[in-house]
Amino acid sequence: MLAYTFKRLLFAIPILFGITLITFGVMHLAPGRPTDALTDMNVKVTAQARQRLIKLYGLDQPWPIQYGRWLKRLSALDFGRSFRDDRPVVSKIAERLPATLLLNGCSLLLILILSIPLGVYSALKRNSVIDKGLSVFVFVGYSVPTFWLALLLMIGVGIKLGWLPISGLHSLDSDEMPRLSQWLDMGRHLVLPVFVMAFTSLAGMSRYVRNEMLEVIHQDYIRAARARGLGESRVIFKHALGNALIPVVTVLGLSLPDMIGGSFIFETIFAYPGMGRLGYEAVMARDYPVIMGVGVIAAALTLLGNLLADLTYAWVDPRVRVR
Amino acid sequence: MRSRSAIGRFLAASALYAGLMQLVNWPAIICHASAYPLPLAAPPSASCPSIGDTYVDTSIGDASFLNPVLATDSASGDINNLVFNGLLKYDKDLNLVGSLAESWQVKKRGLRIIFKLRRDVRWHDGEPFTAKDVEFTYRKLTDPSVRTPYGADFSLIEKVETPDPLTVVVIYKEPFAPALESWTMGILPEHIFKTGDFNSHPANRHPIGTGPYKFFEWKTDEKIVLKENPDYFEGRPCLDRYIYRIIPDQAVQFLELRQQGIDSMTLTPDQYKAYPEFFEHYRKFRYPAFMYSYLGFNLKKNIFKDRRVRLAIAQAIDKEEIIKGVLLGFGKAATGPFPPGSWAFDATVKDLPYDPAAARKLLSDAGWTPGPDGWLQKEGQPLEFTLMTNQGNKLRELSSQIIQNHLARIGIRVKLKVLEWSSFIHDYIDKKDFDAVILGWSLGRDPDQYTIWHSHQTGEGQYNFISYANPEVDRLLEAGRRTYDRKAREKIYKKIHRLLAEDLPYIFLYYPEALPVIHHRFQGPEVAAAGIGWNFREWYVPQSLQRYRLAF
Repeated sequence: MLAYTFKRLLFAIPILFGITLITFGVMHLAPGRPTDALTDMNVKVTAQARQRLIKLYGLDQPWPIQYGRWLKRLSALDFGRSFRDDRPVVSKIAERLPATLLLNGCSLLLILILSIPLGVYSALKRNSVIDKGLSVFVFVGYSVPTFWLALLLMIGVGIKLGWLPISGLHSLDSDEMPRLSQWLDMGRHLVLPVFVMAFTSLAGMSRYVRNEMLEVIHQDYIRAARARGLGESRVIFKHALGNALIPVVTVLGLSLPDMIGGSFIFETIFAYPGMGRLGYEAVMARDYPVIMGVGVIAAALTLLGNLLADLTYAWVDPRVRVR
Repeated sequence: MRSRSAIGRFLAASALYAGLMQLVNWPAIICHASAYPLPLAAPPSASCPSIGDTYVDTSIGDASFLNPVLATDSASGDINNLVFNGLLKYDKDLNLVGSLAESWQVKKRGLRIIFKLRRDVRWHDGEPFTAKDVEFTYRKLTDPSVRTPYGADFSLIEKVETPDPLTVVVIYKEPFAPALESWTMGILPEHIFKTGDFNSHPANRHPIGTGPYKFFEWKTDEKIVLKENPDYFEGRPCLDRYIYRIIPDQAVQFLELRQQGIDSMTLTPDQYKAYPEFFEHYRKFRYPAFMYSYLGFNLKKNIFKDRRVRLAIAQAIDKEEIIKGVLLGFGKAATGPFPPGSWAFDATVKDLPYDPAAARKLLSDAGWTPGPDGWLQKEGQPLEFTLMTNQGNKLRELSSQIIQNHLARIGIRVKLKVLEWSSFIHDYIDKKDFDAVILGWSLGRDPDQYTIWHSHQTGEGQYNFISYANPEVDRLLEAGRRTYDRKAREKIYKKIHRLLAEDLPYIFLYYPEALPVIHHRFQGPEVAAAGIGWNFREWYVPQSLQRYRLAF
């Protein structure tokens, strides 16, 4: 097992290298340079001043040389500094990551809590009116544009009813509150985004659980369990559900990059200070070091997520073992 | 272990992911109870009828550098204006008046400017402000390793001398009247930046200035908080706190406005016309912004070399329809390169009336006659061109469609092309590979527009990309830079205004209006030539109307 893990990690290095090379290349193919947004068509900035900035940022070099420099710095675990505010990329990411993990973690939890019962129920009452109704429900969630739903809920729950804050993660005066109220305040801010995120991505997980469950309940061992005279709930929840959920672990592992990647549309609508906005704004501003930093971390976590999924899968399912 | 059920293992696996989350630095987003004590109801000071309360402003984007030498974005500018001071500033009528400088003299026809500094100014950390700080700021602006885009205005300086701590003598290589405006640049504290790298200095996120507000905290992409500077040299500001909330979506900003989560916002024309219930707690303002939109001709193209063609196009475009359709009426037809609020604006320059018949006649005089397909042509050459603008600016895209429609009426075929900004600028504008463009200029308060109109400014990346050349305009632009006397300059720029309106290198389309709303509990906002925030320090909220009294 250890040797296998080690081998997988070793293989990850060339893959990661390839990902960074392609990211860097694509980034430089996109029109525009980091200095453009600041200096183009700004009467206060002359052409010479612009050239000087381009040189100071090392953007006058061909991109393979820039890539070499970036790689050299990375080998010392230095992700460089953002062009936008000259802060280390690592601290910019570290600042956003917790907020994104909090939001995505809460939504993932809610998705699991809702989709497992929904999936199981649909599987047991397959093709019933309720099953079909649930299908329609989750697919409505899947198809509805998130920003539209978000705005609608902001108007309804936020403005008309006045129950919840509209945007952000903290109230303006949260610094003055006692610790407990601060947590409550954050919770209130999280309700809308977590709900919207969970509702719009319920479909995937609940359909997945339903299919797995359908497959499992027709297995021989379930028939055997019934034949032993076990009660229906014991058959379903102990014998069938446990096995049906094994593949869910894989899906969870694969969702690790989504967990940290954040969603730009989401975070923009809810004025939420997370990774999605960091990445998107870096792309728009052509902030190369930040794009690369976010890219490398996302790539590394994707690889790690895959590995983790495989390992935990082997752990929860004794049938899957590495030889 | 063996006996554990599959569900148990599943839950354990989930816990593993949860554990992963815990590894990451939590406290970064969790607020700590802050240490500053709640202010007691302080007695009103001399210039404030009452003090207290918080002003919550909002912005689409976060700030980058809280350092006026490095910042280029408007969010950083908003904060820097409250934390730093220049030697000079603009008053409500756009006159330059002293700020950190008590007085100044222009000598030797502009080759020497002597600033006398105020003696009662202290940095927010208590250190005295001196002439050394001014010299330091100048050195940084011209230091080749500093990432500032503002060096140009200061490169004409030969040297800066500080004969005593309260005197700054700036010696110029040549007279340069806009130099006075360049001294509105925020002055930085030398004692803070003495050590460490300037570009990445921690003070760029925790600024120490001399301004009416002190920096308090910055939560990236959430908010920036400033608090009042009780020792401000012009008197303490009446509002205790200034909070800058980052809300990246304009629709959500608007909902926050309805909820009174923000006290101020700049509206789009359609938001300005929304239901009255959105504004029951707000006062609406409107005034001409310091910018204009234009249709610029590439004067290197043969068809546009003929002034009659440019004039005909100008007469065939109904600006009022553009203003009604695109700005919902919140704008004014433009007549030249200076906005109505500027002292360089010549109100006697009349706009060309919309007159398609005259346009058609002008074109037929110039030899352009309708061909068999109805479109105008001369010697088999059709009168057609491509009108380009950048993606992401709805106003410009709509304007180009209206213009296409208007010109089709007199037989000119216009193709439209909307391009991504960077490629538009670098592959087309810089290479002069375009027929006509729709763009806009955001202007400084000084009317010097040498870089836009002078015939020497046509190189790649320079701003006279339409290749305009008029020796008289060149001469006037140069004279405007050498002349310090305001009355004399006014004459020069009004002349330029008239010449450009006659030459029509651009068709000046419209001056849009700024449309801010401000919560009605604030007393003091007043529109002037300088816009609306010029007296922000004096805005106040009567005790009974204060909203944030308890918490802050």
